[in-house]
Amino acid sequence: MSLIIPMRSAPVAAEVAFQHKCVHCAQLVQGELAPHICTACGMPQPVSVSEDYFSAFGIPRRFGVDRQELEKRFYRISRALHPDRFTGAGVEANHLSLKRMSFLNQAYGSLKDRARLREYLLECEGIVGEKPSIPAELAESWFEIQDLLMEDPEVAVRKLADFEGELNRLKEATERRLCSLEKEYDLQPAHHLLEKLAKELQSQSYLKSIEKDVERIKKNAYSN
Amino acid sequence: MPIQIESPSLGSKKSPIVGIDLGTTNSLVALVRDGVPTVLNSRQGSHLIPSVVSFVSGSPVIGAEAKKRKVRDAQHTVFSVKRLLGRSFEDLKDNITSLPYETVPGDGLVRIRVGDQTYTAIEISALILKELRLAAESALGTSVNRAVITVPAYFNDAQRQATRTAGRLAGWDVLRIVNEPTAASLAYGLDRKRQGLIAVYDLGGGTFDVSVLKLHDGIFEVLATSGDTALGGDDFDHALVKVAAEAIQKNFGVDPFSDIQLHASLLEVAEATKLALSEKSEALFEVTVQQGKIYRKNWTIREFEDLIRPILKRTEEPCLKALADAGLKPSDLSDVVLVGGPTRLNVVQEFVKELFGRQPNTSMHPDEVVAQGAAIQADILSGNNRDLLLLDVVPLSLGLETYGGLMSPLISRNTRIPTVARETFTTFVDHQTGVDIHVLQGEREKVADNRSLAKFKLKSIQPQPAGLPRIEVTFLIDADGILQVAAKDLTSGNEQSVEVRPSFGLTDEEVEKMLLAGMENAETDMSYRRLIDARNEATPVLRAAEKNLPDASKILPSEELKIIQEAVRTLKNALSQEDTQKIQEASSYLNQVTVRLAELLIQETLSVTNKNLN
Repeated sequence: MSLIIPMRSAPVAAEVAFQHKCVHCAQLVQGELAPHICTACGMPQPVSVSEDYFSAFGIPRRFGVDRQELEKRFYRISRALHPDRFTGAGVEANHLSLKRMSFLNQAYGSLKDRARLREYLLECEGIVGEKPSIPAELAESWFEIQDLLMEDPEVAVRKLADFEGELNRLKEATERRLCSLEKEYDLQPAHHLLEKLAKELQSQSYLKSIEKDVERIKKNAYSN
Repeated sequence: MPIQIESPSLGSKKSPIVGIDLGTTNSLVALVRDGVPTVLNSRQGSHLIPSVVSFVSGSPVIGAEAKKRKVRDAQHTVFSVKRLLGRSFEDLKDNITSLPYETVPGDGLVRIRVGDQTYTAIEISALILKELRLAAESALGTSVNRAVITVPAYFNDAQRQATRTAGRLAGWDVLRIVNEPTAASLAYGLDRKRQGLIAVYDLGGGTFDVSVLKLHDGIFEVLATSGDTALGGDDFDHALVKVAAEAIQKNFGVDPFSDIQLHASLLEVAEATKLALSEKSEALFEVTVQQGKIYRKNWTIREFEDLIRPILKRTEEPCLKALADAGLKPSDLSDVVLVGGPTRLNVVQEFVKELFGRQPNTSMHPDEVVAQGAAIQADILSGNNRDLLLLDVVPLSLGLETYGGLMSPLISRNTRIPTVARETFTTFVDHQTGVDIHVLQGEREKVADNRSLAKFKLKSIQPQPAGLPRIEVTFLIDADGILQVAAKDLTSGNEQSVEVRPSFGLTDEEVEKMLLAGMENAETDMSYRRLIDARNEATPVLRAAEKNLPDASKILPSEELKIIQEAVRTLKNALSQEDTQKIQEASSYLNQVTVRLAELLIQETLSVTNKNLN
């Protein structure tokens, strides 16, 4: 039996102190492939602690990301950095390209996806969310449905339709608030905005879990 | 002969990197020449090398020769071994009866019994891969030992590891494991004119993959992939066999599956019937059950299509899943590319058309496109092609077992590779001094529903109250999609790491033992290499002699000319056979008898030059 449980996930830490100079040829790492590759000798560079997913693409730490531009940069850096480019280049170059390409892939995956970007940015800014709780507007009808499921499933399923409507309205409203908070933050980064954002995210995640439950109830109802 | 203008300096160039499609039914080896991917011929002169191994009084025969023995010597002939690669006996319990040869449980991996010997699927695959090496060396006239090998995109870590190990056993330096549909897309988009979002529908002999890709300016980015590693054209054969078997049982009271020979011949006839039905509207399925007892059934194309449609239906869900994971609708795609022999069947093309709402693209050679793509990836790795780049994903989620028998994913499916993930875990009971790290692959919540990849123990954790220790687990996936796991007790710094192999791959000792066993075969490999070398040395001698024969007839007495002509014939004859010594002798004899001719020719050239100068 496994006796381990997950702890709160931590961002992947970088490994070496930031270096301006190439690990291989000691030239200054600069140009459009910095900080990934030294243009002087072509050696991929170790990922330093001061780097984050945003700096990997040379963009500011904001919610609004131009995804087309992000893709363009991802392709450009990948073309030079991918391990396929270092097959015959020796152990050091191989290893460094593997490490840095892994980092770049993670960075791209996180920034490309809106929800993951939100999570990551809050994490970078050290925002720790509270425990999610059910939004007050929904609580009563949700608990009612739960009870009805035991007593009269048919009525419960009928009630579910109205409930879903309300759920969707709330979800949309939350998303709207999130978007406007993001815009506000991007114009003028302020810590209290992030805290508000974190709260909205929490209720959003609760709504999503209710949504999953609703789907499950519906599935069961149809299969019976 | 002495006047040799061109002297091909062999071995001065670095050996080429080839691409290999190790298929369920057939295998191919290919190479990019002058920018064009070319499938190399087998030693029998064909592109396809049947993935069949037959043991003739204990020694393996591979490819076309082995295929001929599928029925004749069913007891000693192994095929479709890719279906067993990286799997345990338990994994296969459900569909193992569809193979006539005997499989037995082994330590982790399933074994195949041939006579009094047992083999793993890895060893059988290694024999096929070795034959591919000989084919490549024979075709290229140089030693070849570096390769890119393709695997189904939906292969899990154990199956990838098994493929890589088989390559190693066959003497290959496996530079990259590439996903088959991704490789196919490389061949499809090689000229860079084809751009946009595509789906590759790859139905092979024993595996099904579907990948959704974005092609943009030489970048081949896989957005999502899905599939079924136990679904392929083989299943059409098995369906036909099942129908026949039931009738045979009913009409003759014979269980055909208890007779290896009969089972094998049913499979062979089924395959022939399937192939016939891809061209004709009717085909006769006929098999001799016992003397005087013949089973016959006439299959119409309609009946056959009805029979296999339920099997095809199983490809629908993976296709929809891949599209959903990529966040796309069928109408977003600009093309659907068909790959794999079974996609020749009209019913398959119709099915795909309906599923994606568009006419699928059948322009790629269904049997060769994967090998071509592998060759292109090999060319990229050689550094010859810096315009193209593959960006691939991991097909299945990877995670750990946590308390309660749950799978806790660290890397979710369709994550771009290479990638790294770190997560911190803690203990569940007080004063725990060790934790079991159980690595899993799959999409299900319960541990038992996922594939177990490895188990190891992180020992000597400092005893602390539950929840206090911090254990950091790192997953690293390289560009082959192969996983490495490390666990570290952050308090003590105690670290343990494994390349995931133990549960379903071979242990290091096993590989060691096989490599040693391989040394015994090294003798035959060596002699084969000598043969190639001898051929390579003799060919230019022959060419030069033939080129100068017209001149020789002018300046040599007829007896001497006759001797040279005879020597040319002898060498030609020797070159068409496999006797190294004969080739060497004939070549050196031709060299000898042309010495005077060479001298005369040089004198003549000199006198001509002098005349011109005067």
